[in-house]
Amino acid sequence: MRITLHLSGGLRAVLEQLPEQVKLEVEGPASVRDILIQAGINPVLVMVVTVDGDRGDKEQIIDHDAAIGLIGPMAGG
Amino acid sequence: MLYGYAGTMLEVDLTSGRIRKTPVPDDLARDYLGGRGFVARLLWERLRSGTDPFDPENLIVIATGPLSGHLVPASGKTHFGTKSPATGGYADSNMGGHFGPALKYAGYDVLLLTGRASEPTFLVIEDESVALRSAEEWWGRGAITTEKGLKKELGEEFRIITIGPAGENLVRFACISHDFGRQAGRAGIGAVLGSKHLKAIAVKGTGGLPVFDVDGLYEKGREAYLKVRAKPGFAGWTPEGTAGITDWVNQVGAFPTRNFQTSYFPGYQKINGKAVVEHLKITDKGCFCCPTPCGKYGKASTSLGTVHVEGPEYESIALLGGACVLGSIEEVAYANYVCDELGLDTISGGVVAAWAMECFEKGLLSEEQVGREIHFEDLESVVYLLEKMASRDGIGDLLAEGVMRAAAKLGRGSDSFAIHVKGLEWSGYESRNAPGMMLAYMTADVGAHHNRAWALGHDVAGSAASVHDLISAGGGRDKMAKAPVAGKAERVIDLQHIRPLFDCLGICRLQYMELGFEGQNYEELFYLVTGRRMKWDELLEVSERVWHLTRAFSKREIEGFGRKYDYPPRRFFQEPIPDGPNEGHFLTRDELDVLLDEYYQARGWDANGIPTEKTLCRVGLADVAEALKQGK
Amino acid sequence: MSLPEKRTHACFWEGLEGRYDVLELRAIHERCSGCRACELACALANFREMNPAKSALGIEGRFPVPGDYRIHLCDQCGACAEACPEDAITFEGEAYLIDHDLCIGCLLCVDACPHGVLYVHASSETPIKCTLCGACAEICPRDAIVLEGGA
Repeated sequence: MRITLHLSGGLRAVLEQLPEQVKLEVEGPASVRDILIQAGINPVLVMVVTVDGDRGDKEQIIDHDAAIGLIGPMAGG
Repeated sequence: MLYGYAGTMLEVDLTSGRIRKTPVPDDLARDYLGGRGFVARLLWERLRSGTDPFDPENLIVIATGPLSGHLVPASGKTHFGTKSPATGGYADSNMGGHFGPALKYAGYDVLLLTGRASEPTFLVIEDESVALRSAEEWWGRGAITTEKGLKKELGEEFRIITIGPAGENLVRFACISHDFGRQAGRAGIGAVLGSKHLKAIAVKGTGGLPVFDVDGLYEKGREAYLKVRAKPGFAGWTPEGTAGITDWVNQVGAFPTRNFQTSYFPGYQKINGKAVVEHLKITDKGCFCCPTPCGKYGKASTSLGTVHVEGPEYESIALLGGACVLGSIEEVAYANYVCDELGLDTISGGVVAAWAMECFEKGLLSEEQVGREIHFEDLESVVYLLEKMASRDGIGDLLAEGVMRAAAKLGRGSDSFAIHVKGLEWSGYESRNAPGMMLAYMTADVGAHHNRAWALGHDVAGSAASVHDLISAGGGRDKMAKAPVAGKAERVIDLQHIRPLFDCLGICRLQYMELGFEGQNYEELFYLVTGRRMKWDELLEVSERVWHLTRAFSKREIEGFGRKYDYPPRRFFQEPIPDGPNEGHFLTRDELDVLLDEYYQARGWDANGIPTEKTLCRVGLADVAEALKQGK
Repeated sequence: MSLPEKRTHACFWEGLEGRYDVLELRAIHERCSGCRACELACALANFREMNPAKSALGIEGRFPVPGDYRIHLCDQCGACAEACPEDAITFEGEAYLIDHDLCIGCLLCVDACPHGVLYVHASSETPIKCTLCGACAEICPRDAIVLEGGA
């Protein structure tokens, strides 16, 4: 599956070496968590996940080409 | 010509009723930008040293920034400052909504309040007209009720701030309320308004703002909105707002639970962002010109009644939900509403209530003293305590002093779990395994507040197992390793410059911090508004200057101020976290000293945490250095 | 952002060959967050000024109950034109526009407007009216105002 990861500003702040978009080929089906590990991103650093624009979660199984948004740690108010 | 600014400082002496308008000095705008910068500098210059926070001579500064009111994402911020009733030192608080822009459209960048009105009063500003009116009919009534009533009386187009009974009764953590869900929450500024008998300020402005390049700003401004919307986090962030971080904070074991006894709340999914959306939310409510409305306005029904309330935000979930252990989002929302109407900071209110409940649990406060039994996990107990605090009735008189003073008075070891720094209660991040965050809390100028430097993400990055470990251990995500203590100072210092910069500019930092809307966009927008070319680093220099200034202010105002005021409560360096992902972790006193030593060194402060003369001169505060040398 | 769906609107041209697409602003109230960027954009587009008091639309907050926002827009109903004693308001292609030279500043149109979206401002004797420029729809980060149709 062709996966595009979109990393938020907050995530890149704690993963300085990664760009705003990461493209990778993943053997499907796979959980978001597994995809993150494959991309070298520790899942604990991801606060919020979106899959193709809708809110998702790290246990969600992906079985198609997808755009996954990753929001890193951020403060509340 | 100060492009971007309204151009005028408005001073109101509440004792005499005298009103004075003066131009905003060029050098003030140049060196301090606005907002928090103006607050810090004007307090330093104009507040007579040694003034008691509740004395009529205490000064309240309400300052917008050069970008407030312009077509720039989230340009609705207003900054408030005074000498703190909670800490006796520097106090400021930032507020969203629509008040600041209204002030600018009326013609004023800054509002300075001194003196004390002889009877309950409210201030009405309508363009050049400034008047004091009797607030007799509103005194004693809720903050929200009062705003609603004044809008009806004066007109819906007025933007209004109010205090509730808590401010009137000088509760040391009383807040300022606005627009049915916004607050200048922290550091007790509401109580200072109360001490001046000022119930509300209502502003209507119909003027425009001078813009250096209005066509350029319109184009770049429109672009900015499109860019923010295109950010990957945009769609995921807005629906739940700040409540959406609740899950993660629990999963990394940083959630204040049961008065910070522990840092993981098993019931967190009942009080998280999803719960807000599914059970409460009616409207995504936003501030002026904001593309990412984080406010969640909704309706909550509990056994005690049904309320309409904005929130709960993450902090309210953390301190009313976690610290007081309330089991449902409806209950948290109800307690939130009670705070809002009474004019109490939900953060301090939650921590004070939690302290009282732990005291009761330990037999340090009796049923007779409290007036009834109080327990964690009980909404009625929380509401009872909040109402007592706001009215200073019975046990409320002790609690209204904040946990530091209350524990000092009660004694019996209750100070070891009075969760504060400098006299201001701790906000929503349990930091026994987050040394950067701990350092941020220890060194924040207003007391234990997270919003100067939110370093928790970096701490977690440091303590989380490496990806390699995750793969080889088959997960291993349930327990966090101990976060390294060394090397935290630089990150905290950077954040202490970046985050408050937005408070100087008069805009929200969320689009930058959470969505990654880049600093160069703000450089461009700043230029188009003001005509001043300032690089991001130059803007940060202003923020750095302000940091040292607020430290110097507290040094001037607090007898014996220094290192010993920077420590957290004993719970954090004596008690390991008992369970959850950070089980067993805490920071020792020695480790706290490592954090402080490294920080003071990097800051150019002496071993007692006081800025050196050399440092003050380096950042353009030679006059401050001189004043400190002369002992005020 | 995707293009708005085209709509056809049979008005008093009904019966003529074909149908005409009428350009109009539509409010989706439940999306409004009360930010008022629309008011700023309107004033900038029409007056080149940073002043929401010179905008031709209004955002109303209904708090504490029911806890939402209402967007008050001009729907080009023409009541203002009907009320004008000087024929200073006429339909020009897509919108009713005020001829500020003909206008005598009587403000009868302001009273006649059923939506309260004709505004008076101290800087001018003639009122402010929506010109259907679409600046509000363009800026709205919530897609709460949508510009649709158009021939």
